[in-house]
Amino acid sequence: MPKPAEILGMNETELVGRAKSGCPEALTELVRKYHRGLRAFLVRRVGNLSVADDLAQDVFLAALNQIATIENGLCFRAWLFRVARNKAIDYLRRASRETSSEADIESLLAEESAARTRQQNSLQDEVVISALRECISKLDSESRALIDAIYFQRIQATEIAAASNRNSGAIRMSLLRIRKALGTCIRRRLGAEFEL
Amino acid sequence: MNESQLRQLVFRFESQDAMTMAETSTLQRALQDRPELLGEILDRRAIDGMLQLLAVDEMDDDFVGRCVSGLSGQSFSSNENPLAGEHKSSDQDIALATIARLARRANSSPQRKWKKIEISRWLAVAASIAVLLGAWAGFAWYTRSRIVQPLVTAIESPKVNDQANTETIPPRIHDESLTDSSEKEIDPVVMTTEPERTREIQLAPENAEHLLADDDRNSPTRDEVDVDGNRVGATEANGSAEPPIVRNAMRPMIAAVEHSPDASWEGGDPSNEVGGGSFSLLTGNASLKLENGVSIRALGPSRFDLNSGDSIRLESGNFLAEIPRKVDQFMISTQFGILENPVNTTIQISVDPDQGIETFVTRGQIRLCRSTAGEYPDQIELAKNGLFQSIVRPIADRPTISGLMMARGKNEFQGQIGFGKDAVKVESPVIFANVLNRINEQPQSSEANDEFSKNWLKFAQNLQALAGNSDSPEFRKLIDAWLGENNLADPAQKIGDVFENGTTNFQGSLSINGVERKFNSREEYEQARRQMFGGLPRGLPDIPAQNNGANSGTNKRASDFKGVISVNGKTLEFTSPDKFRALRKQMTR
Repeated sequence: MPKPAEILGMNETELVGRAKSGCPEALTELVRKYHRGLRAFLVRRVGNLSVADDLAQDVFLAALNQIATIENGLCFRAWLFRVARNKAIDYLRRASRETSSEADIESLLAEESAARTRQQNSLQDEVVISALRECISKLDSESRALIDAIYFQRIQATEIAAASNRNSGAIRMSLLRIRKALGTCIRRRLGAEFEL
Repeated sequence: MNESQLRQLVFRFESQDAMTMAETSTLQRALQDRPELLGEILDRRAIDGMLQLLAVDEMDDDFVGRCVSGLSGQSFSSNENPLAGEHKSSDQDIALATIARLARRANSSPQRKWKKIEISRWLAVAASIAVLLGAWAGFAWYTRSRIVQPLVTAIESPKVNDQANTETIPPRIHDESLTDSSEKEIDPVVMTTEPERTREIQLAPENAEHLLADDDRNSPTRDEVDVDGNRVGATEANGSAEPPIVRNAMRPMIAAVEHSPDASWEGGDPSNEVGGGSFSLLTGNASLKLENGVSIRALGPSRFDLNSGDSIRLESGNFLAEIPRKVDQFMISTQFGILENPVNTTIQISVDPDQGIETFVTRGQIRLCRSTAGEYPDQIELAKNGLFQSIVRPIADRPTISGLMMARGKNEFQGQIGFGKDAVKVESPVIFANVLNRINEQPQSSEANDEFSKNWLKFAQNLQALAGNSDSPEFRKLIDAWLGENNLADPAQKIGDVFENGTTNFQGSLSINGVERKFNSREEYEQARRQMFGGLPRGLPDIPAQNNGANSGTNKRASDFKGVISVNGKTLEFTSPDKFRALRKQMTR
């Protein structure tokens, strides 16, 4: 989607001003500017990309509806992430109210995740993503190949199991271990007290 | 339920395997009792989500389109997997082939088989030795206490006998430790006979650790490196070392809170003693006294998180931290930088979520590094080399320059531009200020290949190559070329301004006939000049004293007079007092 020439080079305040006056390109540019950070923020809190994307769209929708009410001089980014934080907490609260027996564990997790979200800082999400990239590159070749196949090539665990002559449980277990190793690696880079 | 059964249940839950009601409720109870397990599951979910995002980020750019369509009320397709379907893409084929090849290699690798055999053999040998040692120790103790000692005491007189018995009989604890060690030695044997599945379920850190390549596994963490870069025996940041996630209400009290009468807090006043958590002081001021003697004063509005007795995270606002000498280690973290080991230190800290942090050390010393550190070269020592004040600025959306760090003091200036491998330290405040101004003028861009970033990278790489030789003509040429490419003013042209209005530190040195004086202000410069020239009247053919300007030295002929004056990176040579005076006017114009 090419950017109109007038949008190029505008800073956040100017973009917000244009978006307030109903310029769709300005709003698009604001979405373009912040969608990566916002999705990273949400996916870290809810642990699921499709849910995070839905919430991100809700956040941008809220921005569209309320942009006229944003006071001049208010940091749009901070406002956007505050809305995102509230959306995430609302979602996690809703999830924690589920009543089926299996979801009871989910409700515990959602409650804990909501508690974390209240304390976490939105500015660190991109740092975490960047640390994750570095940590992936530090994995051994077998683990990297597995991550590539599962996440980047979207191959099912059963297919990978068949190709590598292992059972799918072993593949899933390997994935769990890899995620744990990545978590350890990220903490090592960002500080032991860092909460993912 | 033992640990491995619990881990197995966690694994099945995370794998979305079908679980019975009983299993579900067992796991639920266990998770309620073990918050750290909840944390582990959440961590793995967060990683899973971020991996999904990374993959989408790299292959799917239409989120913005879909989102904007959604905002304008148009229907848009869901994020379907473009690779889903009967036919696999060539990339998928390659990925599967890679996995199959690696799996074959892993299974058939003779070294790996040999390694397994060797490990088993060594374990067996170690276990045997341990059992033998245990038996020998038991036998030795038994022989000594029950056979030799009674014999000895029987030979000695009855009076001494009683005393000797009480002194030489080993305490009972020895007996227990012997039993314990014997039991421990049997463990490895038991481990090797455990079924494969049971051992596979163990998600112990060491199992996960081996997945990381050697260089990362062995790299020192921040905690493991002391001020001089030596490794110290701190714990590694692994899963088992983390404290469990505990709610505020369950935490032990770690700080006493006092606040001014006009103080108001978001969510109501905290109690006089708090066990940690997030705090937002809206107005007034408050003081936190930690159990270890650390005192943190906050001026509203300010936000901070107190997570433990030996660290605090400052989110925004102004703070004064006093860390007494008796505290071994205390860490103050912010989103822009970490202040480590500020022992016996008083430090003022301002945190602005948009602008970065500013610190001013009034007592003691600290180490400042970026918040994402763990990398030794990032840090700047404050108040150790005469640096007292630091500013850390973030540069958002710049892939190649992630931050700026500036430290200054009475005797030194140190600027650091960028972090990690691209970081460059600049000793000239003028060059630093020019780069800073130039960066601030740049429109924020998320494009990785914008012209400025490319120039920056080139500059940084070249500068690294010339590190340690900043006086060389090549260095000067490089700086000039880079400044020219980026339409920056020559630092020398701004020296006059700097000198007059003090926008940055004025510093430099005056060297005459091998005697050098450094200065960090105009006053110091004037003082240095007076000392060097010893009140030399204009036009007098004598030259300044050889050593200290206050002492008389060996006078030389005027033709021997030569020196260098350097102000904020600009260096000029002179060969006579008159020439120096002319240069001085030029330098300080």
